[in-house]
Amino acid sequence: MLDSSVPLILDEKFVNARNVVAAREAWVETLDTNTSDVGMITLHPDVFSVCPRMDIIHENVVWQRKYKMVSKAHTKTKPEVRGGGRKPWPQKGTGRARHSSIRSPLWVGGGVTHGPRAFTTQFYMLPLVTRIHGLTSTLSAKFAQDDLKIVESLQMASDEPGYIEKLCENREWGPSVLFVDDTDLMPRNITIATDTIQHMNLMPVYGLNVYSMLKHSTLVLTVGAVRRLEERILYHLNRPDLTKANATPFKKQN
Amino acid sequence: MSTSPITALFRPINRMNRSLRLARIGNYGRRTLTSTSTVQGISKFPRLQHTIPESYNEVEVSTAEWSFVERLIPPKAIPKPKANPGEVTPSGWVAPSAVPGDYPYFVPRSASHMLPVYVKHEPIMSRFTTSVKKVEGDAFALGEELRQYLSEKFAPKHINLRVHEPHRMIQIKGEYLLEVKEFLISKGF
Repeated sequence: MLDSSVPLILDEKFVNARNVVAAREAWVETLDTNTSDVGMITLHPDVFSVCPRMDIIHENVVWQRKYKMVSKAHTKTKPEVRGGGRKPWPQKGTGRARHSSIRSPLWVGGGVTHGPRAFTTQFYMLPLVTRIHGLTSTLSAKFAQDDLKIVESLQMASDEPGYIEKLCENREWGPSVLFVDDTDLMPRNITIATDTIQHMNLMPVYGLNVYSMLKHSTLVLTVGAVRRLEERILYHLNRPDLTKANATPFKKQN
Repeated sequence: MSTSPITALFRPINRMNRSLRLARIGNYGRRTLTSTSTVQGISKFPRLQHTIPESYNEVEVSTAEWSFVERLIPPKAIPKPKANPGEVTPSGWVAPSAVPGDYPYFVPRSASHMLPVYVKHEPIMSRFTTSVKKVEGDAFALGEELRQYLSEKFAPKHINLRVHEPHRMIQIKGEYLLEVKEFLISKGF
């Protein structure tokens, strides 16, 4: 695919960098052949070398799990329980406690007063800033821990599952790998190869999220995905109307 | 349609603004524009007819006016003021002059090119917290220097200060916004 005699140097002079580190550098690899590195890329420090905020990562993971949750637990209230329309014994004279129905919450087998009611949602939205900082923290943590690999493209020589498995094994890419590209139409070979492998997944860059990044041991980004991520995240971090955009409705009620 | 004032009251109100209708009249090849004035259904204005000569048949795409549209599009980021490092602008804004490496710590500006010093006033009368955020490097060294500076300035007041390293911030109990900003500007941040 690429001319392997010329190294691929993707050096970008970042204008908005206000960090101690001007830019981070990473190797650019290829899935096509067995050569380890074909070039180098500079990464923006505001996206890839941020001090990871563990509390924000945790908030994001909890949100991703909870906002989709629909609880189907359901109990019947007193009028819903079968029976209990008749007064069990007269009000006075029997010497027993007074009752009007055998299905009152006081009775065994009676209705539940404040029990769960089906289809209770736990939907809430996290503020935009928290979600963005979640992405930058996770990307920085992955990069710092050497779990972030950058690839020039997802083009592959063969469509055999064994090929990609062996490649990941040789390069010591973790058991689970997430391949991210900037398009949602992936090349043919990698689609077929990873189709049967459950722990190797393909994802477009707009689907990137904290939960998936933590679930997979290794994150493989293409150069296009890296630039697209940087562009979008930096736009949100530097936009003048951030307070307006951050006023997300449906915030979590404590 | 009659234009008497009495019938005007009963005319249905057209919500659309003054519109121009293009109509072809006969085979003469002329285009006629008829204006329909629809101000609350009352037409005080006469129906005007403008004839467009045939020489104006072609449509031309012009990009000469794009600059007037472009200047209305809001900027994507707050532009950096054109000032030399350390320069004091007429508004009072000071351009940063410190470079990472000058000190064991570094405090970059926010996205709006302002110092990252904030005061939080909790809903209790005297509970103020001044925080310096985005502190990189040895935050403890900056904390000690700040403590010394503020203790000297507000002696004999005891300065309570906390360095929160994982969150890259320094929190000071009290309202010291101006003094902290002064200190950071003197350092060149």
